[in-house]
Amino acid sequence: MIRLLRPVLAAAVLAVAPPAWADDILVKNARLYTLSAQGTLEGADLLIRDGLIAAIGRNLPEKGARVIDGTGLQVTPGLMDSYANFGLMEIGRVSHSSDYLATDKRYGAAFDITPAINFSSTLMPQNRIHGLTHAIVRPVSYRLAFAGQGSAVRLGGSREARIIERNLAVYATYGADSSKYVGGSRATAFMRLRHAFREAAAFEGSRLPPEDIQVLIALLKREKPLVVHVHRADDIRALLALQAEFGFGLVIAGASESWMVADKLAAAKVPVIVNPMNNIPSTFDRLGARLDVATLLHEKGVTVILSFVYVEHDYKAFLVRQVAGVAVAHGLPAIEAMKAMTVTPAEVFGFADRYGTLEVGKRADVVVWDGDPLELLTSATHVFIGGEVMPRAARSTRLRDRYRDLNAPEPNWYRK
Amino acid sequence: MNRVIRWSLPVLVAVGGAAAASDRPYDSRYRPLPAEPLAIENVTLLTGTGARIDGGAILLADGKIAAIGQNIAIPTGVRRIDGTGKWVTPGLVDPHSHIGVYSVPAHENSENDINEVTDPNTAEVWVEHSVWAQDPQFPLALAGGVTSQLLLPGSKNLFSGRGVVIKTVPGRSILDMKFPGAPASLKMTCGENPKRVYGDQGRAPASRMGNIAASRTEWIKARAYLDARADRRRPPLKDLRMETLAGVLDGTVRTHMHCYRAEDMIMAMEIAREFGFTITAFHHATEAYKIADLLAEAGTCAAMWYIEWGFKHESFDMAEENVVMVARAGACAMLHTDMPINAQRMTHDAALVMAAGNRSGYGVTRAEAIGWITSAPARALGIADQTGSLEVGKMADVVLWDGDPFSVYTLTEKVFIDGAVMYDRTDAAKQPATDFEIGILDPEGERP
Repeated sequence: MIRLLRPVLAAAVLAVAPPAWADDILVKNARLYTLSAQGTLEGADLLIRDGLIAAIGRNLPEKGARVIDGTGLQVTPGLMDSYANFGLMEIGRVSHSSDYLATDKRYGAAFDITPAINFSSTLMPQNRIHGLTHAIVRPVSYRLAFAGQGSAVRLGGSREARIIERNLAVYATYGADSSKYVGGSRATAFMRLRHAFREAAAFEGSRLPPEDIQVLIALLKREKPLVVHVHRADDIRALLALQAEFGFGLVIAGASESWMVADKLAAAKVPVIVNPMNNIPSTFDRLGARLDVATLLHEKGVTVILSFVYVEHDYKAFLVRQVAGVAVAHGLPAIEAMKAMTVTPAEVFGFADRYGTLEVGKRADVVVWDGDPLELLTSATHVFIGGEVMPRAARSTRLRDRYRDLNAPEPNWYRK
Repeated sequence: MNRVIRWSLPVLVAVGGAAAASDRPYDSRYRPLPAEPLAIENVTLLTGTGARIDGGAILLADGKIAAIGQNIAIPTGVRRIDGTGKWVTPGLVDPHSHIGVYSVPAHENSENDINEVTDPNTAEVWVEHSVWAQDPQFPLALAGGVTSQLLLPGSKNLFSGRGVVIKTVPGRSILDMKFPGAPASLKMTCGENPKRVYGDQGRAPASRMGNIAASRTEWIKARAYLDARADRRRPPLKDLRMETLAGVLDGTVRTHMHCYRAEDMIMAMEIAREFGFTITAFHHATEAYKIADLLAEAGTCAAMWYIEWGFKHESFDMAEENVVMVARAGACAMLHTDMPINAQRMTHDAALVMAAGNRSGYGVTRAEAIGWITSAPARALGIADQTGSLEVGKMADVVLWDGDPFSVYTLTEKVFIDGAVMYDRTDAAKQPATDFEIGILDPEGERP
């Protein structure tokens, strides 16, 4: 219906800018990091039509398309933060804008944060203008063994399509924090985790709420993974033993000392979410933190996902590409670094059919950059989510423009 | 047995009689390490004073910068490093650090060393007396090219105490690290923190207006103390708290003020006007771009981040171009870290601000941007005569980068302080480890 109407609409509004979704968009003569089997293409074209990547190749016909001259430009899939709290916190220390931490003990593994996500958050446009298009939004808890479940979301585009996959993983924290809050020792936290899995396995006679049991059974059936925030090498070993006993899918996050158990992680096919920039030994669990952690993991065959990882980083989550750049500076191959914030997490969390590569038929979640996507001096020139052109504005750019001329004749309130 | 003897000796000495009181206690005991003359040739130099020299050279001798330029004479016998493809900048200066004070690994008895949370005015405390010189974050900052830094107490009090300028060098205590002759400074705070901390205790200040009233009350006392001190016949009993504030009023103590919001900064500058001093720098200064003209007029600097924002209501109005907008208004603009994760890559923040500025049409060059993390903070700290720029006669505090320092892929290759190699990525012997880091995780090795 919309397609049929398009020529009429275009004719009617010829004098003004056409609606953002109306045209085909053709990026010509750019470097395309497809992050698929096609590899990196030089001087290639990418056609966006009806929200999808419609064609990739050389010298694609321009007919009817809005052309972006990609000479000197580089194109990647939209970037993703795989360990985010988007929409769950607007301002720190404004408690009514914070929803990522459940204190209600009735809800453990089954806690679903999705209804709390605020898609009007200012953090979404701020990150979107810099090429971050996707996030896996997760709950946080130190006090319970299980924090709840996370969901994959888009940071822009149609409201109806913002949620990609609901409750795609279960989150837990283990180690220094859990020992403080879960029974006084990390061993009590470990016993509680083990007890929960045993109850789920037995099912009968469970004293946990049925919803939690259902979610744990889904873990045991490997329908979704358990993501555990943990740093110390021996704690990771303990979790690997638990995984071996019950057979659930495990992802390790934080993971400062994961390089010390890289062989075991590789053998168990356990992916790791790390931030190589965070090499500060900020607790006794993190004495082994180092800048080349991602490289060491990759070299041993561990699947690496990059993110800031720590809580409340969403305000600058787009700088995951700085995290990737630092990983590359310390030895990680650049393509692996790009995959680690796009297709790799999409594969690990089960939505790579919809997102993560530049491939014909995938949704057009695409970013055009004016240089190397990992470089600090590079900017995103065009950001598309589902083929829709994202506006270049965020609250920060509005404030910049308002105060750009301090001698402007009209006072600040009237400078819009 | 040995132990008993060793420890009893000093006790005997102490009992033996009183020593003469030193008039300069707590002075710096920093001594530069021995350094051979060295020349780096065929290198790109960013001087920190706004200049860029391609295909240049720099000569370090006697701990100082002896020559710099495209055609300098290098005496025979001086070791030469080929800097082809590499860059040289001044050692970086971080004007806002808590390393050694907010030390790691964090534990129940570390986090309280940064704030003396017993009174909204604790101008009598000196942050240097809290510093743990073995904090593993010191060598991380050094490896990132930071050669000088201002260590500051926290921001819970209106007057938090004195800061200390250090060089990022090893020591058995802060005294071995103190930057010789650097001016004293006072850390102050406006806005949410003091009113929250003391308001929650049912004490003043409990509001922003309470912050201002409490500050003015202290400055009135300081003015009276200063006047009383001028009476040489009957001077008042030395009051450590008032000594610091009086130092601000007589111009010997610099002021560094944690402030985010335009209104708070403007009111703080009014207090300074009322009592006749100039605030040296606002730190964090999220909204400095809104009042850049007023900062320029007052001669007050702003030390800012690239993008830390939204962690509290008063830090919500961020603009990525903040540093550039302040600089373009003619005020002194600089970057600060506050967090060691940023201290390791101050050049990254400078590059990200530069990119934001250039997206907005400000036309920022590398030669300008390097000043935000070298000469500008050196001026604010009162050490610009000695460091923060590549100029003949300055301390040889210099970083050799293995590429363009504004690239994410570039790392420091060598970091020199007073001409001595303090960090070398190519030489394991010159990769320092604090006392804390040896024999931990691996009894025969160091922390990675």
